[in-house]
Amino acid sequence: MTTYIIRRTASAVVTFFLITLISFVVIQLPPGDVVSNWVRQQEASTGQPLPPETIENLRRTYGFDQPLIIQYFKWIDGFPSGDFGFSIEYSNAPVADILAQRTGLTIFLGVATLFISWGLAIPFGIYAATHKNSRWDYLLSTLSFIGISTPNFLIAVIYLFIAVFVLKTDYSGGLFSQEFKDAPWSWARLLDFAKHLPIPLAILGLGGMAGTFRIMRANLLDILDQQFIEAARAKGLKERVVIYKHATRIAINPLISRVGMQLPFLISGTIIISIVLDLPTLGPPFIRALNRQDMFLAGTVLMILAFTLLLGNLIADIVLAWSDPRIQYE
Amino acid sequence: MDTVLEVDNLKTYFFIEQGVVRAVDGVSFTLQAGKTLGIVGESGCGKSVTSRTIMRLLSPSLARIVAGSIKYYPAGAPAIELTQVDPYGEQIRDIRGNEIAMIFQEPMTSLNPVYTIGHQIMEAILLHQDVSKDEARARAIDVLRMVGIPLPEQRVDQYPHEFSGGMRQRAMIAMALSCNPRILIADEPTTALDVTIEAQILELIQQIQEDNHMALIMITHDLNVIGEVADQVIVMYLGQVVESAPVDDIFDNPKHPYTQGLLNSLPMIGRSDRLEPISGSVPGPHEVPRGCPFAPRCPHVMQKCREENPPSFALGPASDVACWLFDEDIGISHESR
Repeated sequence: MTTYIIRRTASAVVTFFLITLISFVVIQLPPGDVVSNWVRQQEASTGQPLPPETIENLRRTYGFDQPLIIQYFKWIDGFPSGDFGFSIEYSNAPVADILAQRTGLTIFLGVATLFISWGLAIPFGIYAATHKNSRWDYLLSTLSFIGISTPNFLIAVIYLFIAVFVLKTDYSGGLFSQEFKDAPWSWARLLDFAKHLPIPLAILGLGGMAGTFRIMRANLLDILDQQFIEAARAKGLKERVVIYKHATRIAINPLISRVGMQLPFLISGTIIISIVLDLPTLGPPFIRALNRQDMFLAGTVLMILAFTLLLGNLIADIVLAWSDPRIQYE
Repeated sequence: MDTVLEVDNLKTYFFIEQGVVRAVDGVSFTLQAGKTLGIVGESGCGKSVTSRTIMRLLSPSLARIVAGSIKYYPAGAPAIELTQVDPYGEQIRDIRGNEIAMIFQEPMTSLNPVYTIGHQIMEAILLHQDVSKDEARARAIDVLRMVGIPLPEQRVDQYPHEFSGGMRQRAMIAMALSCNPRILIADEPTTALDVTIEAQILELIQQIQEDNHMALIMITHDLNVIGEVADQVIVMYLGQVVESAPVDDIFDNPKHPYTQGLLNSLPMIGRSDRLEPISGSVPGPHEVPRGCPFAPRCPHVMQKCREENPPSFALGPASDVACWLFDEDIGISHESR
């Protein structure tokens, strides 16, 4: 088991660096770079072309005249000391400063969403499977079908509409009120945060819930048809023990591997909703950085996504190996 | 002889969207302690539904017992009418696995893959007996040894995927026997196994039956298995018992045309004539004919057979046959045939 964990971790580290390399290169693939984007903007606002020497100078100061691979290594060189480069889009501010709070909030939202969607989807899935073809099963399945086919950002828009125009609340997006937006953490800010939280959480949670519910229901139905379930009943076990100990325990395994895939999806999934609801997550700066080829910023966000994907999968693999004795470690 | 189970005119119907399926349609038999009842018939004839009705394992939302009775006679206690008990209740759960145990057709899938063999055997012991975990574990090792699993002290902590098919069926039997049941229902226990393993498993079941004076219901489509283990045999066709007789009579002097057909289609060493399959095929659950269910395929079919389902005619103390050929009014005595 220990060797299995070590081996899986080692391969995750290698994969991680390959992903950072590829994403760094891919961001640079479209013609132009962050300097040419910046120059075009300057020229548009001043109406005068910048002298080529100035542009050349800019490139040299930022090190963009060097080969990509050198730029890449210069970039990752700073990682151990917490230096993830700087963002030209954000007036040369360090990437670490721009993303620090947003990363925390994004991961918090992602994990909280996961807990909410799982906490509801699994019991609903168990209920629907054990009451197959009942009225509640049909209702839950229909709702989940709608939930799975409606994009989250549409739910967000509809919800905003209902919240503002029908319920006449004063919620207008965001995770903080105006006065707390850039304030340091305090009790008042935390309270304000807690007040803003339910709506984005509900919207994010609903989307993830539908899929998880459907998987749980289908898996459990599959398992309940198996011979060993009848054998467990034939032993004289209580129906509750048969369902939870013998069936759910196995039906939940595919969900464990799903969590590894879901973690980064929840984080990237917040991007569009974040724009709609104006949430201070990684989403808005990520989109902006991609549009302007601000590669250190975009690369760092991609790296964070890759990191959560790998971490999620690593955790899922380890939990699965522990939960399913049929998995071979060797 | 002590009767342990008495099934009388049992009818279990499935109520599904497409209509009513009469899966078990009037089955009667009695089971004596230490004896073996063989239930034989083709796929879909209601053998398995009969056994699951006795265990009350069928979902009440799908299958209903519409008529008949199942009387279980516990040792030194009044009879229990199993058709009347709550299928999720405590009474039937105390009987299941404890007094009536069951082994299934697919040893590959009848053990839970995520728990050890020992855990699954101990689960039944701890449920029905007032013993500690250590005692239950010792008992689990004992039964594994009893069913011929080598190194049971080590095997007890292994998972089902570490067992071969034959070993899993042995483990299943160990699990069923762990509480010394008075009745063992074996639903096609050897169908999924190869012949050498089949012989071993049948021998094992018989030896344990003898040691424990246990009653056995052997459900199979394989007449060779029936010949090997059964004392009394009932032949089922489309949910009905067409013939019931001691095992020797079934093989030497089969009465019902269906039983005869089954035997004629059975390959045997030393047999030189051609195998004769029964013509036609089993009708689907919604095409069950009026009258005798076997009439469309019967070589001796008469007008009356197509109109009226024959009752059971007693031919001896333990022999009954449901066929108009044996009705004295019809005038064909069985000696002349």
